[in-house]
Order: sequence, then C-alpha cells, then structure tokens
Amino acid sequence: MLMTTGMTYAGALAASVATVGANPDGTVTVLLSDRLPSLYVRFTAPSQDVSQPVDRAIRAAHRRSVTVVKLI
Amino acid sequence: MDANAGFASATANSPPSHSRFYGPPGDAAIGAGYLLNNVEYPTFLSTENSFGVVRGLVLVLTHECDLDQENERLFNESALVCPVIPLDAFVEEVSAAVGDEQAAGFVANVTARYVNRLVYIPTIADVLPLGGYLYLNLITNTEYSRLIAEDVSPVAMLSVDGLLEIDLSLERHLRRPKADRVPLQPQGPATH
Repeated sequence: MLMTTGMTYAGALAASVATVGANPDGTVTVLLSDRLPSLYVRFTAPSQDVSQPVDRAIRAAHRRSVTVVKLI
Repeated sequence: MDANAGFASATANSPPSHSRFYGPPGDAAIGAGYLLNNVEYPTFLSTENSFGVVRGLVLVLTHECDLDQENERLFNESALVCPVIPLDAFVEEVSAAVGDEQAAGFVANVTARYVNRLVYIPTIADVLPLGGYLYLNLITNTEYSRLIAEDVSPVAMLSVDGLLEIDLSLERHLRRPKADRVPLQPQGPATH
C-alpha cells in the first residue's frame, strides 16, 4: 500500500501501518508493512498553528463564555 | 470575520460524524461524553491574570464508573472536564488576533483535524447554536458534587460517533510522539 503525500499523521495511523515514527526534522517515517521491512515512506506532518496570539485569543474566548464565581 | 462566516468555514467540510454527534442523555449516568451546563470548575483567567472558579458548559471526560458514588472505590470524587467555548466567541477573538483570512483558514483546519489541541463540536439548539470548541489544553478537574448541583443542566450526550471523535482527538493530542529523545530511548528515529 502506498502512502500519498500530505496524509495526516492520524490518517497514517488509520491506514494500519506497522510503525509510525516522528523524526527530529518534523517529517514522519512510516513502515508500511512487516513484509517489506526495508521500505519507508517519508511525509511531512501538516503544519499546525502554534502562534501565541491564537492561544491568547482562545483563552479570551473561553473567558467570555463563562461566569466568574470567584478569583483566587 | 463574524460568527456566521466562521460557522460557514467551520462546517464547509464537516465529517459525516457531525450529523449524528449527540443524543439526549436519557438515563445515562454522569460520565464520559456527558455535556453539562452551568458547572463550576477552576481555571486560569487570562484577562485577570489569575486563577479562579467559573461556571459554564463542559464535556465530562471521566468514566461514569469512576464517578458513581455507589461504587465502593477510592478516588471517585473528582472528574476531568473540558470547557466548551461557543463558536461565536471563538471566531471573534481569533479574528481580532490574526485577521479574518487567517482565522477562516484556522477554523477550517480545526474541523479538518489538523490542529491537535482543538476540537470543533457541532451545533446544539439553544446551547451551542453555531457549535463550539474543546480546547484540550484547558482540561481541568472539578468535584463530583459540582456536576450534580441543583443549577446544573444536562445538555446532551455524545453518540457513538461523537465519543469516537473525542477519543481519537485525545489520542492525537496527548499521545503525540516526543519531539526530543527521552531517557533510555534506543538509537534511530523517535518512535511512538
């Protein structure tokens, strides 16, 4: 079974691969099958937003959606 | 980007599970998959730069057997919950932070499961008219007594599909391969 580029990490897990491993450079190494132990496919995990402004915005949204009972 | 535009971006490519995500709680015991409104829980309030106690909509994560007060077991008084953030507040704040175009892309990426720490959950009439978000890094605990308080209202129960979606989201978020090598790790690529 061949992996297409752009497959998500979750997609790889769902594809019943034998081993999935993250590499330090952000790519992922996938062992397709125990029957082909020498065959690896490398693909890049989709980028994720890690910006601080987004996380602060999400926390602000959470704050808007709750009623404060008390502060510590 | 207003809430309706955000809703359009969030639902443009909804997975099939979103059409059958919830059901009425019925007689289900309070436990994993239960959505409750007006629950008290502790959290950090960024606008006040302080921890506090708030009241709001949550998804219960702890299994009902670990909460059942009839079960004779230790450590059954605390429950893990994840706050639910309504889409309108989420979209307005994210748009203000990064602009409408990037916010629209971000919202779409969350629905597409590209952002491990967030999960979009679909609409619930009146309570979540445009759906909402689980920010998994806000998972916290509360006391069982706060889940059954008089002013707490049951909202919905995750269906089989909804539970699977949340289970997989927690798996993706909490069990990602380490970026760094860990002690006693064999040589070669980092493995999960």
